[in-house]
Amino acid sequence: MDENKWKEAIQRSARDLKIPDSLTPKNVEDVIKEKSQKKERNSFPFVLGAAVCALLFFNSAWNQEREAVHKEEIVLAEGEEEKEREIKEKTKDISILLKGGLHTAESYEELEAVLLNWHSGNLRKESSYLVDEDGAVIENYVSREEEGIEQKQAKMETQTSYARLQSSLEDARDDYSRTNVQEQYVEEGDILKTDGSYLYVLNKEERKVNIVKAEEETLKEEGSILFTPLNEDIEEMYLDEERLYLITKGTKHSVEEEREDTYYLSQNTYTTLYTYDIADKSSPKLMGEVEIDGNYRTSRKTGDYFYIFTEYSPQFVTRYTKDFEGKEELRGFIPLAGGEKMPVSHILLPDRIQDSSYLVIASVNVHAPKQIADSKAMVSSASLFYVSEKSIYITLPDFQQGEEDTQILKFHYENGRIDAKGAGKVKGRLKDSFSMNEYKGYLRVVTTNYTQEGERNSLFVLDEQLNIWGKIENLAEGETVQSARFLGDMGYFVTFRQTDPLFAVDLKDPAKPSILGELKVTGFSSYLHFYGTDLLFGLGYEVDAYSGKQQGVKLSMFDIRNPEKMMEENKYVLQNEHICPAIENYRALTIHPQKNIIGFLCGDAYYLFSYEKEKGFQINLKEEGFSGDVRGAYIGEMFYVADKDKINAYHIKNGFAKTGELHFTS
Amino acid sequence: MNQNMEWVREARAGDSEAFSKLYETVYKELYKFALYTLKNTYDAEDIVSETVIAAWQEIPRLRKEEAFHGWIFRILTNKCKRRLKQYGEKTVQIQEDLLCEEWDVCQEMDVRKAFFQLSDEERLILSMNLFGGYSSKEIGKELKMKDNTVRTKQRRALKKMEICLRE
Repeated sequence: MDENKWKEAIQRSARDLKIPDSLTPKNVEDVIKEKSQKKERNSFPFVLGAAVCALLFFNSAWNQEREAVHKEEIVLAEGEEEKEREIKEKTKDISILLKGGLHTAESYEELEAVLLNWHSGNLRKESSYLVDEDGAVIENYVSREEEGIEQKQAKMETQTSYARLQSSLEDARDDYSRTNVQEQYVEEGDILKTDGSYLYVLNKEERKVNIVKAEEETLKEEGSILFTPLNEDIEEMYLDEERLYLITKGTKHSVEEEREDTYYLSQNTYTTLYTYDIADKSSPKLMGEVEIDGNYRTSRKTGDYFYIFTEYSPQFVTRYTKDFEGKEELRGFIPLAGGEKMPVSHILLPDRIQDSSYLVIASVNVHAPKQIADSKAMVSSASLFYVSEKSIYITLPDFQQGEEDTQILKFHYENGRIDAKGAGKVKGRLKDSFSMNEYKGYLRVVTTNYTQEGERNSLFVLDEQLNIWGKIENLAEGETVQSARFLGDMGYFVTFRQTDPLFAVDLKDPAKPSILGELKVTGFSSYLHFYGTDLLFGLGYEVDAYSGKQQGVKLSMFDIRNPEKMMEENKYVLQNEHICPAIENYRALTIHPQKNIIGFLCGDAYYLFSYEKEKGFQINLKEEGFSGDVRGAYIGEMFYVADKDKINAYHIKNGFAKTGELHFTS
Repeated sequence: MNQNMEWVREARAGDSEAFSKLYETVYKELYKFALYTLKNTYDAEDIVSETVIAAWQEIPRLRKEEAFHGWIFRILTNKCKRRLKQYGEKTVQIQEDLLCEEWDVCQEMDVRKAFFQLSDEERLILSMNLFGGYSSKEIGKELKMKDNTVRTKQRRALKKMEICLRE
């Protein structure tokens, strides 16, 4: 076969291809010219987002509310007329972009109609669960009906265009690290963030964020945020284009006078999202804050929305009379979100109530940081949280007849809207959120069942309504699941008692999951991470097979090219090291296969490993002198290690030579 | 080459005309790459416009020694990779029908149709070679495989086409 002949044939077949008008150099130049006239080039995605959201809010409130909402949403513009003009400009951009890939919006009017249709049809649909003020259920627990296809399409077409642009820009900027998260595109908070030019270090104890400019080998303190409210502790930090976010947990006491002789003393815990404008790094400005009742549990950020989870216990209030007789009452039955009582229609009741506290899920649009976009609450506690790109899964243990099952509750979320989808149950207990993974609508779950006869492990595949579609039970008897990771049609999990079998599961057919292979090695991995196409990295402990004694922290690289014949290609044991925060906290691990970097704190030192098949794991850096929570990040060819007091800079290409050290002064 | 570097310098400084001159040197190949990899004109147009916007946004980060051509194709390749992953098992049916409307010449259509029968990976590798101008080594680096593997896959893909078109 003459390869060149075929190559030429392919090229010839493309010779007379008609290039779409929107992609001609002249058109492209026009689009770009408009963008270059804007003040801040780098805020483009934000600008576009503001336009989309501004339109949403602009169109939704037909009456007097329009003015008020309008003002709040548009952050960049000054002056009413200018605002109007900017919206028109921005929407013109959208239609040009949309025109490039979609064929629905041809003009501003049409675009407006599409967005309006989506917005009014979907934003505030009534939920199928109703509970009244006293907590009694009015309507039964039923699953939601599917949305109309038309509405869905319109919604998707306008929203995904923007979402894709967001992620496309992230693509191009792939020369700096991100927080190690469970699900790509679902962001999680962390104490170190970078945007490729600056490093942001959160010091929880001293309640501040240091902003450091990182330019090749130089580090320079640029600014800081000092968090003053003493009754609040900072729990998370997030970062996006021109904003930094802090989520805090606080307690407040209040005394209310009901009548002259009657007082209410109450205490409640609440969670706050603070949004800071960091366009000027030397002086961050607080842009807005919004409060949600309840103790902070966790949060996620995707696209323009935050999803914040809290646990709210109805307030117990002591009512004092003038005779100083105290009597406890139950007050504040309904949690507040954004300062307002959650609508009764947003509160859900599961089949069996096991707890009197509420799990609250609230969403906040980053362009409207002072209000809650949507909220749902459920009378139940929550154990684990797993947020995929489309769904929120919450687990709670369910004890029945001495056996522990796990109830799984599912919510669908999209553009700030949160809807309950269903509930299901599996046998056994989940190790952590990585024991769950959603793919093509199916939820794969690995559990350990602690029975009277010993431990058993299972894998379940649940469908969109959380019915069990397929399962494998009674695996690795006497052992417990230590870690799990899924990718597409394959799943891998580790069980352990004395030795660690790594199981490879074929999940292509949801009704028939099957074990393809099992690899036994010493020790076990607590965290698994895919490393390139055929490798699976494991971080855990090495254990002596005979004595059962833990020998140290272990790094493993498994060759998973052939699931039936997996191999531990290489391993590295840090002898006698046992304290390694990254093992239990995946965010503390800096792992980037594309840069061949694995970094984490172990014992007293921060280690940086790289991996090669022939040489195995190599230590590129071992640096002592860090304390507390330590994180690593890279920007281009520089690697930075930060704790709450300082940042060290190392040059990756130069053998990780240390090029600088910055101690925070403020 | 010198002219390109001049344009790169100017584009980095914010000159949109210079950027569009650079774009002119690659735009047809960008679209061909996208269409042949993704198999449908809507997504191809969409992804190229995303790539252009991203490139304009990021050109200040383009290091001097790098060629604009290789750099913008890298952006496009990454986007195409991601899009292919998203496709999953979506049926090819609809997309092929839409394409048929645009083609005139029978022979060219046959070659293109045969090309679209190849797997995602095969199309990506061939597009990178034929429209992106990547060498086997460069393709190997991008897709994380040995250059020999790239050559083998390429050969197999072309063989598939030969068999397909003979029938």
